[in-house]
This record gives sequence, structure tokens and C-alpha cells, in this order.
Amino acid sequence: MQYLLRLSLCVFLCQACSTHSKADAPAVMPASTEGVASKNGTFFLKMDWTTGPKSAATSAATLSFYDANHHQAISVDSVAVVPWMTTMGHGTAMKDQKIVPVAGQVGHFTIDGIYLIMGGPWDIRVTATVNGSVDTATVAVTAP
Amino acid sequence: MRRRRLVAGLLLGLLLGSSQAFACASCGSGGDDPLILYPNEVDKIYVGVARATAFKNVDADGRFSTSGGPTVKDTLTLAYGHGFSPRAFVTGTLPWLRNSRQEATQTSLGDPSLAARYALVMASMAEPLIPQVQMLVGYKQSMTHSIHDSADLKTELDVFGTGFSEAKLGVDIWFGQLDWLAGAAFNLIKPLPHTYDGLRYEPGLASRSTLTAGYVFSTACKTTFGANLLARGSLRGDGVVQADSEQLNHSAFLTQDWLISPVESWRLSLSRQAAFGANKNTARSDGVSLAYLRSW
Repeated sequence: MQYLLRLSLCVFLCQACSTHSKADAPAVMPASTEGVASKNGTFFLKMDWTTGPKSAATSAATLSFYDANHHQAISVDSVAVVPWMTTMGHGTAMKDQKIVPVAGQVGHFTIDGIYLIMGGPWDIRVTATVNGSVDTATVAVTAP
Repeated sequence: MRRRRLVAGLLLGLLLGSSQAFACASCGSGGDDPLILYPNEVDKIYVGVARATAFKNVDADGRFSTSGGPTVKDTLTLAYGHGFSPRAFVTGTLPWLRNSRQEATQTSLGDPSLAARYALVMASMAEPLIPQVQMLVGYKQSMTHSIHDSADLKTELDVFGTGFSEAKLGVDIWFGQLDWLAGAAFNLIKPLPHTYDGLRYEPGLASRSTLTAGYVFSTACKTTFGANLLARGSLRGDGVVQADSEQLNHSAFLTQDWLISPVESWRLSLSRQAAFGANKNTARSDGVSLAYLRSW
């Protein structure tokens, strides 16, 4: 009986430990992930489109920030996203954009309301503050 | 009585015929200036309405893509010209614009412009193979909203201009003494830099080349057609060249002129922007315009 109680306690503690580890340990970026490094090497950004990219319509995406050296998710203090059409020298309508951190996931955000006003090549400029350092990564995308 | 009518008819024919001859390669739908004066004209007005539709973006790779913004653009153009001599005249142009998208519309006065032409070589019916050669200068003042300061980028209904004032200098050569007409024009266009939202924009130097041909069916009826090539250098932002920002637009036009009296004419034009060849960072659109011209 005592053996069974100790075994149960052991199993319970092991499960508790593993759960506690998942909450604290930063997520590791999958090796096959494509992304871009920020200009000053402060972070590595992966942007995945959940809707789009579309032109003259609304798109949505997720932003995942990783450490530039170890490719582990990092905490980000602030995020700003500015789509810019470099070839024509203009931006887009941004008033509907909404950036929301994903609960329970360090360095992960959703962004809704991305509106690219026309088709063609766009630079999505993502500026983030990491440990007090402000840096920008640029994601190239072509809207149809 | 019959002899008087014959002489009057011949004189009228010569007058109309000579007017047909004294056109230009870059006037009308072939270039920027909707109004030109013939040597015998002192004052002249132009009233034209135009509509552009079927917009498509042409991206940096020359591919068609979705064009946001207005689906219909209407223009009412008023122009006035004054001749100082048979060789020299000036014109002023003021457009009024209306942008429409579904049920929403916005209107605005457009960018006004001034132009002047001087004929270095006058055409002569005695020497029909010697072309008219005109020098031209012009200036367009940016006064309307552009995409750089639009209050509603989602619809672009308040975008009525490029956002940059422009100066131009050009030459126009026109063979207009025979039934077959032909000519060419070349303009250099220098946009003036402007700062928007703290960023200093310097659009590249542009050139517009025009080739025009036509036929005079009668003293009252003339058809011309041709093509424009607009090429613009790279855009600079705060002194930095923006990659792949050059512009190219090959457009085509067809114009029909009817002289309804020695001093009045109607002009119908069809045109297509980005109609053929390589195009880049521009837009395709189809246009139709109808204009009334009268001189004193």
C-alpha cells in the first residue's frame, strides 16, 4: 500500500514538474522556420499569414519573436507594424490594425486589420522593443 | 456670284486646311497640353470632359495587380490660350476632378498649369517637307491631395494629384502640310521635391516621348493616333534611392477632330495607359474624352 502511495506521489510530482517547465521554458523555434533578422540583430522575426496577404482587403498574421542567436522565443515590450510600398514610396491605411499578444506564449502576437491598398511588392516593417533596445525587421511580401 | 462663292470656298478651305496643318505632335491627347493655338488665333478656349476607368496596378515587376482606390475618375478641363504673335502663345489649364468608388464620390479642383510655346521654325505650305519646330516650357503647381497626404488611404477618394509640382521643357516637331500627318515630341519633366510626414521625397527626372501620325480626310475632318512613353528615374526618400522605384508607362491614343466652323471644333479621344510594352510602377486605365474648342 505504501509502495503504491509513493509511486502515485512520484508520478504526480513528475507531471507537476513537466507542466511547470512548459510554462517557464521559452519555446524553441522549429529548425525549418523561415524568418528575418532585425536590422541591428536584436531579434529574429517570423511572420505567418493567417489570412492573405490580400490587396484592397483585410489580412491577418501572427508575429513570433525569437532571440537572434539561440532562436528561442523572447519577451517583447512593444510592437509596431508599418506596411510600406518602397517602389512607389507610400504606406497604407493603418487605422484598423490591432496587435494583441497571445496569452501564455512569450514573444507571440496576432495582428489583424492589415490593409494593403494595392497589389504589388510590400515591405512589412516590424519595430519591436526588446530589453530596452528598439530594432526593426522587414518582411517582404507581394500582394496580388 | 458663283465666282465669289468659289473664291470664298477656296479661302475657307485654305484657312481650315492651314489650321489642320498647324497642329502639333504633343498637343491634344498625345501629351500634356490639351490646348494649342494656331498662328492665326489670338484667343482660344478649351472645354473638355473625360472619364478614366478599368484601373489596374502595374507593379515593379511589370505584373498587373489589384488597384485599390477609385474605380471611376472624371475630369472637367478648362483651358485658355492667348497668342502674342503667330509664333508664340501661352496657355493656362485648370482641371476639376471627381473620384468615384461604388457609391462614394469626392471632388476637387486639380493642379493648375501654365505652358508656353514658341515656333522656332514655322511651317509653310510652299515647303511642305519642312516641319514646324516648337519649343515649349511649362509648370504645374501641386495643390491637391496625393497618396502621400491622403486622409483616407483605404479608398484614395481624396487623391487627385501626384503631390509634386513639375517644370517641363520640350521640343515638338510636326509635319502637317500634307494629307498624311506625322510628328514627334520630347519633354523633360522635373518634379520638385516635397516633404511629407517628415520624409523628403525627390521623384526622379522624367521624360515623355510622343510619336503621332494622322490623316486629313477633309478640311473638316482629321484623325490622329500615336503613342507616349513616359519614363521616370528612381524615387529618393531622404536622399536614399528607393530600390526598383523607376516608372515606365507606354500609352496609346486615337483622336478624331471635326471642324464645325473656321473657329470651332470638337475633339473625341480614346486612350489607354500602360497599353503595350514594358510598364512599371504605374497603372493601366482606359480613357475617353470629348472637348470643344473655340478661337477668336
